Amino acid sequence: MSEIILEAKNIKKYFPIKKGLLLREVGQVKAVDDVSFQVRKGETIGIVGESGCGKSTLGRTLIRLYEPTAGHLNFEGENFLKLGGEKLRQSRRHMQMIFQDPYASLDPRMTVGQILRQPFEIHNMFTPAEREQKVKKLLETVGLKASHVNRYPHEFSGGQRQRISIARAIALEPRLVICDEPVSALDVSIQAQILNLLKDLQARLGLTYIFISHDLSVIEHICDRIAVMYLGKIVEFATRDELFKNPKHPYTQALIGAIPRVGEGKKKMKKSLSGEVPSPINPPQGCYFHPRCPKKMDICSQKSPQLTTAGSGSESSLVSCFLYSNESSPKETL
Amino acid sequence: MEKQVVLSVKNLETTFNLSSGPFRAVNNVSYDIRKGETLGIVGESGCGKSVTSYSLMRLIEKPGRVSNGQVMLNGRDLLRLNESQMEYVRGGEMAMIFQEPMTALNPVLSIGFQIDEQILRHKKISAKEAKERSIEMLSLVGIPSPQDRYHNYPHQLSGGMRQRAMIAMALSCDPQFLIADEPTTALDVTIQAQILELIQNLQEKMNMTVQFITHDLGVISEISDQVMVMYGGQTCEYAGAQELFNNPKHPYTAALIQSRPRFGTRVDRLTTIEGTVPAPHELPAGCPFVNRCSRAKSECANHKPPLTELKSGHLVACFNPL
Repeated sequence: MSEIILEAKNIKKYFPIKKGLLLREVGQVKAVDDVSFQVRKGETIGIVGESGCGKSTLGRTLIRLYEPTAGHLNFEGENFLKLGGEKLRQSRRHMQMIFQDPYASLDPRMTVGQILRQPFEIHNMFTPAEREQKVKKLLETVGLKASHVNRYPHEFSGGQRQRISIARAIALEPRLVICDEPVSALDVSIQAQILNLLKDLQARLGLTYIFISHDLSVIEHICDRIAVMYLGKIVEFATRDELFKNPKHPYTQALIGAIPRVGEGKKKMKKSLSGEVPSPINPPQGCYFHPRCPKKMDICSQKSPQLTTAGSGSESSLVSCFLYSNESSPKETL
Repeated sequence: MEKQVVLSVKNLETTFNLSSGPFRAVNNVSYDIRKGETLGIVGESGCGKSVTSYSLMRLIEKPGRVSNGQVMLNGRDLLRLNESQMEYVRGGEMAMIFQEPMTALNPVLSIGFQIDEQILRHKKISAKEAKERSIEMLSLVGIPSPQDRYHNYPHQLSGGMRQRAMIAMALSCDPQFLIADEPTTALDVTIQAQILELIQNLQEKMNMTVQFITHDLGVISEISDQVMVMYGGQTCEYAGAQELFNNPKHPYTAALIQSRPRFGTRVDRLTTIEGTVPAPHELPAGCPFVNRCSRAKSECANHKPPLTELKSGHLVACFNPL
């Protein structure tokens, strides 16, 4: 088993809700609530869930674009939350982010050359002439032309812009890249190009990805292990094979059941989940999913399930559901 | 017996007069939809699928205009109606659901008011009856406690609920023909499944004819009877849904299906379509797909392939089909 590059332990990110003239704090949005997992070198971890489940907040918290409210974060054996100043900056070099909207994440007033030079300038690397060379090489690496260096972002299509974002993210040869819905804003044929590019770069540069998406087909294509999130919590964590062949949590089952399938002909939509994701300001008692759950039991509205191991050997996964926990049905602990 | 044709579009052409010259966003598109059936129109951004729908509703704004063609709805050419006749058709005989309910609904009017308004415009009934009808529609589309929701403003509803409210509005005057323009694109998968189920149920109940537009191949495959694939403002393929997805004949359709990660089928690399959709001013003279096509022949660059029937009900515009 390869080494662990990032370890998140009990990460929480709460946003205060302020009201009134004095902006008194009247409540909290628990965007990420007690999330723990490990990322191994060279793998792709998928984080999947519907809007508002906290997947993007988690991604941003992992590289401290948001300061976590509580928890531990270890990056390459170092306590990442303790770092500050120059040390933090040095560490951040090794983790980069690709954002969803390639129209918003590139400064429209900067040329592609300026955008791609910036990482080197911030970290004081190379001479200007070397930087120029590096930028041209980066453009070629992501499938653009070196002659594009003096163009502005608006001169590129959505897919090309996403390539520029990727070039910027890999400029400093990071070890971990967080991809926050990198293909969601793109057309299908362009999505495929970007997904292939991300895979090629991973193989060539030995990158580790945390891939955030709401699209399960994309997640299945690119990820090795997957965390399913619901209302700020991980409800299931499993390998790709296990998650898609044998989804355990009722929410995962519903998500997979709701993916429209191509080429199976017109069919009567089967009843999927009823209701909507409840507000994270005032989540339901017990298991957050129980008001929508087709398999809910009495205990579900009273106690919160913990993430526990279900199944054995290669078929094991972590599930947070009383269907698989010892409390409802006595089962041998693994 | 064949079902009656409700909508018949013939040689539709919509032109935008841009500073770079005239651009045909919809170029010679023809199709029929039969009663109670769903036609899915699929394509990437800029392929003309939305402009086609807006042309049908006569909602094209300057510098664009419908420059040629016929849109026969129940035997009447919509393009020949005057504006006040057309206003009566819109929301009455035919209605439309838009992609982004937050921008399609008026933010400063309650949803109840907005539905009432439409009913009163089309039906000779009192305001009280209109309100009853609105509440009935809200409950029909599965909005809980419709009496209260009637007074809500769009921002007080979630995305899924707003889309339901818009469906309630579109269906409030029993349209025979419904255009749904990417109605689930802005929604989460579980909510998308709910909305698709709702549209299907209502379609069955009201025997409605539907034109469904999306870029999502999965959605189109599950909801359509017939599918039309558009590229560069033109129809490149038209067939029954099952036939089209399992036996695509146009290189673009085939590549589009291949480039999508398919659930349950694992490949190491996805098939890609090189290049990007051509910009309006750089559309080739011949087949619009020629520059990205792996099967292009010399004639493709200069001649537009006509839409021809390869086998019964399966039409392809390609000189070198698969």
